Amino acid sequence: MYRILSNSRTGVRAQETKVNSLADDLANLQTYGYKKKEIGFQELITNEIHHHDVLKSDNVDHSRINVGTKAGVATVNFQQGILVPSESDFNLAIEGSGFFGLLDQDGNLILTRNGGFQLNEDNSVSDDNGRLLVIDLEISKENWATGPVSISHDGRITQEIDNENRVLGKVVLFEPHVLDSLAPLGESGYLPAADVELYSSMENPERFGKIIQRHLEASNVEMSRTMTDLIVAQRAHAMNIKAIQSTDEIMNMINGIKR
Amino acid sequence: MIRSISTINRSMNVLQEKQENASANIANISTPGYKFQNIIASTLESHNLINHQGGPHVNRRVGVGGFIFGNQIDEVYSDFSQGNLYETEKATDFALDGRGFFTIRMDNGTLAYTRNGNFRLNHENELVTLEGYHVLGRDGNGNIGIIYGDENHIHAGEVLITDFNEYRNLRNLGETLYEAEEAGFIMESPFLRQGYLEMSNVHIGDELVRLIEISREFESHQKLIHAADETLSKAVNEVGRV
Repeated sequence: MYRILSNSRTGVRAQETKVNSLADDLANLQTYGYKKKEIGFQELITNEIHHHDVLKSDNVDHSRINVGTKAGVATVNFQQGILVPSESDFNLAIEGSGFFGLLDQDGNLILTRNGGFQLNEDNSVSDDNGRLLVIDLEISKENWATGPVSISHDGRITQEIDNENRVLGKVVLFEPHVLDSLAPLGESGYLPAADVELYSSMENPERFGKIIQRHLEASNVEMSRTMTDLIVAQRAHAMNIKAIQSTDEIMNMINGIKR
Repeated sequence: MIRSISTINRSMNVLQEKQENASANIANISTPGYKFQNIIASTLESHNLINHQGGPHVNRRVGVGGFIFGNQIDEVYSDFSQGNLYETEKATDFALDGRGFFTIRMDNGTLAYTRNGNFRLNHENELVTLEGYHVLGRDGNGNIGIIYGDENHIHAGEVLITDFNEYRNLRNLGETLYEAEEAGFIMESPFLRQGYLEMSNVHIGDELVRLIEISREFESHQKLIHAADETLSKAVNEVGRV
């Protein structure tokens, strides 16, 4: 009997995971570069219906009941989000494949699609969390002028220095050989797996999409889709709770047999 | 009379398994490619009961009739009816419309079959199930092997679909996998949809009604036990009283 309760419990928990993920998606509806997560459900292993528990006829050659379900983040959906115009020079969006590279304090490379960067006092370019954008510099930061910069589709940053258009450097894009190998870190960041080949726009420029300056990529969460998924998950959750209630009722009856 | 209690007990055991099965179906209401399972009960063989009473020597044979001393599970089957298709727009998601199964090679090398096309690419760029089992495919030369991603895309034509004449011989292994007793055959033109998943074919309404049925049946069984208990109590405590 307790097995039945734990069976329904796995269902409740799996649906809660789904609701959590959908809530996460909804909360990040306006987050630039956010990619929705796909929750995968899977049946758990099965138990044999044991002949000590119940009589079985000779017809039964295979009688197994699963012990429930599980849910987890299967993959991240890296579909393109809509590009929205923005004012700042260092607001970049990628149209097509590729990720911006960020270096955190420990020097780890983190990939992101969120191109909301800013120019700091020391001419370094970083995201909102202070992680530095990977740029292949041609002119050292100290020699940059203060004027506006323009960034081409292939990532070349140009600026007018002493009335002359000079290339300051190039925004480097990265992409792992297998997208599904990226581990979501939060804060729009993804950690590339060490054992998967990482391409960069330095060596393989043909693999990458275009960088669009003064644009940002909106999140790829679809409001209506997420809301309908939420309703479905809510109903499935309620259904599992009904099963728990009904099992509880039966257990109550069993307890009531001896008066 | 004591026998009636054990008869009811046997039936209650069957009901408990049915309840477990219904709960398992409900838990997997969101599992892609899940096929609901059903338990069918049957009665035990009926036995002829004979009394020897009446007549001059109180030994006349009186046939009381056939008696059944309980229920048992007769069949546990998966229902392979089609589930609804749900669009995911992911290149590694597949759904079958109609017959057929995806062919999976498990870690121990044995083949298993599934309707759950929720796949992903692993670090070696191979198409695998959520558990990491390889999805088998067939290349242009007809060689069967692992499917590799092509720039994060999968060519749907490569996916190997196996079909069986008789779905009754498939055994449920869990993790939406089935094991085949007889060899299947390769389906040449399956209705395969990329970017879709087949949802579980569990019907909420059916399962809810089943839950109600089971608990009401159980209730009446419990009432029967009480009735039998009361009669026994009368037989033990009151019939002999002078």
